[in-house]
Amino acid sequence: MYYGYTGTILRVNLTHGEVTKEALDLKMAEEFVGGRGLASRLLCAEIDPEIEAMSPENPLIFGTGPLTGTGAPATARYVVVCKAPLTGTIACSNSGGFFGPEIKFAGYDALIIEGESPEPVYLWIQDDRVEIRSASLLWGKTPVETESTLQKLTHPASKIACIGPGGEKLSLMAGIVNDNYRLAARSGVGALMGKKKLKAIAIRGTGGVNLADPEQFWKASMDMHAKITGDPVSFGSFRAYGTASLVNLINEMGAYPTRNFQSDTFEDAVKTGGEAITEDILERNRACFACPISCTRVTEVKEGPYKGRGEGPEYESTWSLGALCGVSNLEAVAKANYLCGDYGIDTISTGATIACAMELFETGALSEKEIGFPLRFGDEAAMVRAVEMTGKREGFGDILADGSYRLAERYGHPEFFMGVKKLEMSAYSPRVFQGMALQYATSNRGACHVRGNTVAAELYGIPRYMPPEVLEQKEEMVRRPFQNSTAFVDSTGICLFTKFAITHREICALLAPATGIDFNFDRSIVQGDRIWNLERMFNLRAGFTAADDKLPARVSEPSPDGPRAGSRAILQNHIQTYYQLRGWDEEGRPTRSKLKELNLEDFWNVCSEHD
Amino acid sequence: MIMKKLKADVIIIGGGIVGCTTAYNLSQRGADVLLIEKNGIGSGATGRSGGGIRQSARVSNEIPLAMESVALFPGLSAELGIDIEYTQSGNFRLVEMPDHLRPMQVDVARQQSHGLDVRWLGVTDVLELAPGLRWQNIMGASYCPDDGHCDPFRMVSGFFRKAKEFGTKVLLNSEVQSIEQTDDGKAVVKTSTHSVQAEKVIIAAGFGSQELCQKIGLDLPLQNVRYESMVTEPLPPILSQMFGVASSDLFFRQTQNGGIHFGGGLLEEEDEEDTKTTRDNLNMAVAHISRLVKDLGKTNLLRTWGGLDPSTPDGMPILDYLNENVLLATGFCGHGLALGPIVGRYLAEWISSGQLPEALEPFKRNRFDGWLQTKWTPSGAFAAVLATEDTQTSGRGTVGSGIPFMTPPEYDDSEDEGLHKLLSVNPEMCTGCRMCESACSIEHEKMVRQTGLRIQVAYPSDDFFLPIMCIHCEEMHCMEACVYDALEINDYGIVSVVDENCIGCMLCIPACPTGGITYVDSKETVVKCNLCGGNPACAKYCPTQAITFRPIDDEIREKMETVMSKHLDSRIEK
Repeated sequence: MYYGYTGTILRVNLTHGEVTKEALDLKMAEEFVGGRGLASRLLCAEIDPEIEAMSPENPLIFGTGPLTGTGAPATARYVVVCKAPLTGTIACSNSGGFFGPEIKFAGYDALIIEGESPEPVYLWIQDDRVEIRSASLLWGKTPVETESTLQKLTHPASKIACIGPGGEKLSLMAGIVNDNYRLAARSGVGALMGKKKLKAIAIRGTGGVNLADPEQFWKASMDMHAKITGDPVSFGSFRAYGTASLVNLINEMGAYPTRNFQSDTFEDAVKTGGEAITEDILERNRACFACPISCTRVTEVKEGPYKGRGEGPEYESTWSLGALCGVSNLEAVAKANYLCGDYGIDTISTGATIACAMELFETGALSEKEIGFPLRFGDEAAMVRAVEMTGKREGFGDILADGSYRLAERYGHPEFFMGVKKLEMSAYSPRVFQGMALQYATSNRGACHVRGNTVAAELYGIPRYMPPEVLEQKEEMVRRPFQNSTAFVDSTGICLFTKFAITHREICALLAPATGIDFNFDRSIVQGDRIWNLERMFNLRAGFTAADDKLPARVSEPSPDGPRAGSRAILQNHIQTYYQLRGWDEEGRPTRSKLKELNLEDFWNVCSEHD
Repeated sequence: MIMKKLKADVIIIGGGIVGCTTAYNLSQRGADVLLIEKNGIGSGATGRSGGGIRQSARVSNEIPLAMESVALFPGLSAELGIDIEYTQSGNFRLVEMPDHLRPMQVDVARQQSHGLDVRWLGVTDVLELAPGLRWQNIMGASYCPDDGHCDPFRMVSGFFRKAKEFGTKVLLNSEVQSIEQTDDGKAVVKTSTHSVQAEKVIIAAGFGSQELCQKIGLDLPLQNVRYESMVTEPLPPILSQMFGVASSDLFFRQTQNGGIHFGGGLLEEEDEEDTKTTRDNLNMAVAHISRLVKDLGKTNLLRTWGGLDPSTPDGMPILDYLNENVLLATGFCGHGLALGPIVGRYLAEWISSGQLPEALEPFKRNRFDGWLQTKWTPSGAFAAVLATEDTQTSGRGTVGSGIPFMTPPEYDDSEDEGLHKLLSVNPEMCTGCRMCESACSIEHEKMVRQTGLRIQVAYPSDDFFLPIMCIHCEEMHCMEACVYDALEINDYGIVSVVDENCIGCMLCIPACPTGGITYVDSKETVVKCNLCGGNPACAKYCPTQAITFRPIDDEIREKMETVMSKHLDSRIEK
């Protein structure tokens, strides 16, 4: 009998139409926890990281954590792991809603989708019954349409993860959409799903998750419940204003990247912030499975050219489609956000790519003729139009759909790409947050805010306050309480947003009674480190080197204006300290003894030669 | 062009089954009837229908009428002088997936409580009665032996011909352009060629009735549900009954000449009358029936057509006067063929006597008053967001911060000390997180699951969520329904389940107005809220105080009952 875990991994081969079930290796689960860790470990056993991302050999792995679906606070997360189509790094995109728990209720810890179908198909998983069915009826439909159709074709309570037209058309910014509006967005995981011609996965589970010690588990859940509902960030501002409650805070700090990172203060931020969203377009807040925070915004623009309804925009979306493009009209931002959802594409990459195109246009590198219309910063109508074209891969959108790295390269201005390892940065300026600068540069999936959001320390003082501009000890901070910790949290199935209120201790207090396995604080530190190192090795084997751990040149220039004018990302001296702390050599490769310590030495020969 | 002027006692608009049966009954009573039809007789929903004549799988309020109507069918062929190919061979609703098993069994219990002979059959019993089915994909079925099927064309033309024999006048291919009232209390119906004056007008024009009603200034909650039908070449007799499926997206029967008449597909709701067919939908229905019926692989299709189901929010027709002159009979939701004979008889009685027949009481249009925003749920039933007072005023806008969901209402419970502490639900605060379900499940089942729960969150729309459970009502309908002494009143004064007496007959489930009782497979008994012995886990775990444990009075209880009973269909499990 398995506790916490369900004990089964489902493998579906779309080339041969085969479905097999494998037992979960509990020893592996103990080492890699679940979710992000376990799915990454499974991926490393499946492929050599050198393969082409958009090939049938690249599997798509949906993973859940041992806490996913247990009903402890905020246990809704599932992850999607593969070699990333956008970046070529390891991808791990995660999402909440109700889809992740449903995987568990149907009896699976992870789904491994391999091969490639010749025709559009969807997967219908009903407890232990698994069918591969034709999706000719669904191809071309938006996620909302797909979900309602599939709930008619399968079961009214099926939970659906699917791709939108963006994924079908292999946009490298495509994500996987579940519960209508939620995206496992980044790294282009939706493009791989589209390449596999897998339109959707419909799941219906009538089983449950066993708990090793229900009484202790309930006690720990109530304890965590009290901590989260007593927390001013999670249960206060996130509930009242969503994640976009950060907009005004970050902007007032002068750390809100604007107009493709040309500046760090947006004069109209207040118009697109969380308070404005709540005031102007919010219909209702809602929650993912078992989540007290309820940061989801159900919003509606009731009339006018930007009429629409959906969820969001959340913080990163209102930034990328707003400030980053210089757009201050909330309704236009909301509309662009709805459209991204309809096409199933990542809002951050979409906004950033359009911002990059705007800069190319304004500097004359890109002509009106090529785009079809003038695309200037601040032109909201043009921005919305560009989103639509991107989703449809129509006209110039065909070029936008592959992200800003490829766009900037194509038009001879690679310096306009604002990201790392082909992934666009998010809404915390690395010129101001020195922790974020180091984190963006070294993150395993490219510039990303959820691989180690040091803003918690640099703004909220969680776990302790470190002024943004201070550099001392940031290497250690980035490594341990943020990067490694995030790797662990993402592996448990709990949402990262709980981390404002709780630490590993509370999570381990849930993991142990849920699984019956001795999860504890000390081991969680090693588990996080192990997962991070495994991902790093994947990237090294895929061809990445220390030279890729670098920020775009622009952010090393002083910030031109705003409250923190003059500040800039100071990275160079600190990367080596970071490598040393990680137990890596100066090339950024883990040493043999480090790998031995983490029990990872069996993997490809990518570790350091000198020890 | 000169308008031809005519006079009649009654004008019937619509030459479908309801129009024709009503014309037949009225003219038989000696009334001067004029029937106006836009195209031809039976060219709308009637002629496109599946031919099923059933009483089972109806909503409770419609069952008595359906039973009365089915009783007329055996004599119809003789009465009309035409063989309508009626066979009273039974109706199956096949269950194909485990999830539909319990809901179907509960539904069988509900129908039985209305005196209908309907039973639950396991797969072997189904196969014995219908050997043409493939067992592999069937888990069982509800079966009503008195149901059957007939040929819709023969039936409607039989009524039409008899009506003409009794003197009904007819205008075919004539579209009604206006319905007006004269000063002396009469109605005038105009087509492009005729102007007809009459005492009464009956609108029985299927989905087209919507437009006619709009012409006299009324907007009804009517939608067209599109499905697609087809018929194969004749086969030797393999199926005698009428078949449907639990998911409602397929029906089939074998006609007397041997063709398999089947249809379904995605039930799409539309605001227009649309009879197109699509390859995808047809393929889907073909794939579906092939999973259920043996050896259809090489059979050719002869003909395909699009079907129409003019439907209302609650799955029942509207039979009511719109003003002094105009009587509406539409929205049969695909049940018109079966109800036609009895509805025609009652409408005739209503027109001639001026008295609303008691049997038609449940079909008044004012039952939709207050259904502000109607919305289809995936199960095909309508859910409605509550009327203004429930969702829009309470709590919202009253709190200082300006964000209603951030501050739960403050309860002053000091005056209510004499009252029992019970669970109180405030949907204004609910975020749909389902933490109450988890808490309940861990508390009672020692694990987390989403089936067999004592409390469930309903999702009527994307911004309205509602926990549904036993509200410990004073009427205790469940106790009344239980015949095995499996429910008792415990020390706390609420109904609780006596596990050893419960045999899992589920009679209590449909009796509960708020969906408070659930059957649990693993236990083979029902479960319900017992307030966790006075310290409910759900209220403790609810992060937003959408569920609180406090003294509640009748008014709150009544309010909760109204809300919950309206949203039962939006629960994940039923």
